[in-house]
Amino acid sequence: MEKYAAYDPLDNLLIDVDDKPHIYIIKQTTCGNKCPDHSCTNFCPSRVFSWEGGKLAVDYTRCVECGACQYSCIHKNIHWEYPRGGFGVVYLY
Amino acid sequence: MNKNHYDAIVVGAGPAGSVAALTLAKNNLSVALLERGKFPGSKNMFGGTIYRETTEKIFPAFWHDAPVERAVVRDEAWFMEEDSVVNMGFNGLRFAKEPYNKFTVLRAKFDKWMAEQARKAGVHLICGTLVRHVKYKGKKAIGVVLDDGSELGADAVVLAEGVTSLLTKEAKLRQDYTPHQLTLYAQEIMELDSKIIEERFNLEKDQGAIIGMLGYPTAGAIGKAGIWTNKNTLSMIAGGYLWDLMQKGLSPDLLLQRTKQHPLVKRLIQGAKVVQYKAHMIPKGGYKALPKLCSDGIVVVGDAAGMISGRRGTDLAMLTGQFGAQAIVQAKAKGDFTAKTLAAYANKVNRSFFLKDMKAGEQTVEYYHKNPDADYLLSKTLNDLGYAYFSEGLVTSREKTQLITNTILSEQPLAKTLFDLYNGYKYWEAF
Repeated sequence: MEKYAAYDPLDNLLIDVDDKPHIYIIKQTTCGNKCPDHSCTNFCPSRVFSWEGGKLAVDYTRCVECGACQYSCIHKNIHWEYPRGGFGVVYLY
Repeated sequence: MNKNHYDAIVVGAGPAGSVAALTLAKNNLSVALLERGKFPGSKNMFGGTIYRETTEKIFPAFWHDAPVERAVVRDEAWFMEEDSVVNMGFNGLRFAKEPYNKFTVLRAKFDKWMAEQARKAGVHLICGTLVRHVKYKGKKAIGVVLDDGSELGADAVVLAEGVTSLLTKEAKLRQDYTPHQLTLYAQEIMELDSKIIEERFNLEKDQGAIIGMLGYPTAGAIGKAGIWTNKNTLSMIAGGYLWDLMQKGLSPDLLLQRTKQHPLVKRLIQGAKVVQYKAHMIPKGGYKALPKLCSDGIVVVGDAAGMISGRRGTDLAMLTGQFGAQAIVQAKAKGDFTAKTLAAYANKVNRSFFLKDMKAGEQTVEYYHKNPDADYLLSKTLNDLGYAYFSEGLVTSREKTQLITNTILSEQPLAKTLFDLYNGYKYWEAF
């Protein structure tokens, strides 16, 4: 699957980013100590999450609001809510 | 313009919400339809197709006016392997003319159109507005709190908020989802000249095709892919069960990219330019995972209510939107919006054909959890058979028959193959 790594789904997406984040990690130490897989960095369809320098980094500006992360984090460690009205992803098709 | 009290407030202007709002307004209730996106459809995704028979019940002869893309005349299922496909399909040209069967549509256009029909019927449509909370007096919902902190009052609140359904959860009408109850799909919409689409898919003008794909696309994960032909775009999706994606370290967009590379898919989409990427979940918990459909002053409709049966979703959204609204109309007449009156909605859903289907399909979820390799094995067996049957070798017919028998038996016991084939057909339902 690695051969698709250069592809970025956000190339074909309009997101009107809110200045207020709508996703955050509740407790960073949980990601470091209790979660060896960091599966959120894999299944997220717009690659919001990445493991960088011993921390789980969250780039909420990439979010397409599928909502999967809050239900798939086995430690319930991802807080996710909708961006404010009118902000976030705008599908044109 | 803004009133601060309505007979009913509908949260979410997708198919369920717009139909609920329209039905309420037609019965002379004052209605606000609140949409968090910049316009209705701007947050939505499906394969997909809308079904004529259901849609027509709400929007008579809609195809003359609504932004439909193509009338679907061909449905195909592709069982795929690395370099082969076993193809089962149906062409029905009767579906190319009135009253039609189903249409491909693009949600950003079609949802906007549905909401516009509601607006024309007197619904107060407010876009770019997020409902943060439902407001209660005692246990009864009496309105909503918006994200700017302001409030709107209503006798009844319709939750048509889609799969993420945070308000339904907050109202304690459903349990927290588990990754076993959700599928996650990625989609690309690709621009391609309409003449080229018609040539490649063997269609006449305004006719459409759907190809559902299993086996190869999901690389051993439980999931599906598919292509839908629109006027001058193709919609393509891939994905699977969330728990399975997590376990295998896969993402739906990678499955989509993988499917696009298949040699027999590649030639269908050659030269098509990706103009839109999307990702969305589907509530696939089935009958057992359904939330409570109503409480005092609240009805839950559409995806928020888990109303997915097989490939059907948008039409069930429309139907539950209509049923929910009808219960509120009755409640208004009685002047009683308690759960007891609104239970008329839940009762109607319980008696519906789709709930019977959902109950009957209850083993689906279980089947796939127990047999995560079912689609893959089925696809592999069929393709091995294809090569065995169609290879022109230097053997007698009898020897060839023996070879085919051996092919079937080499994969797994015959009984399991037959069982998978039957179930693969029965449960072929992702979109």
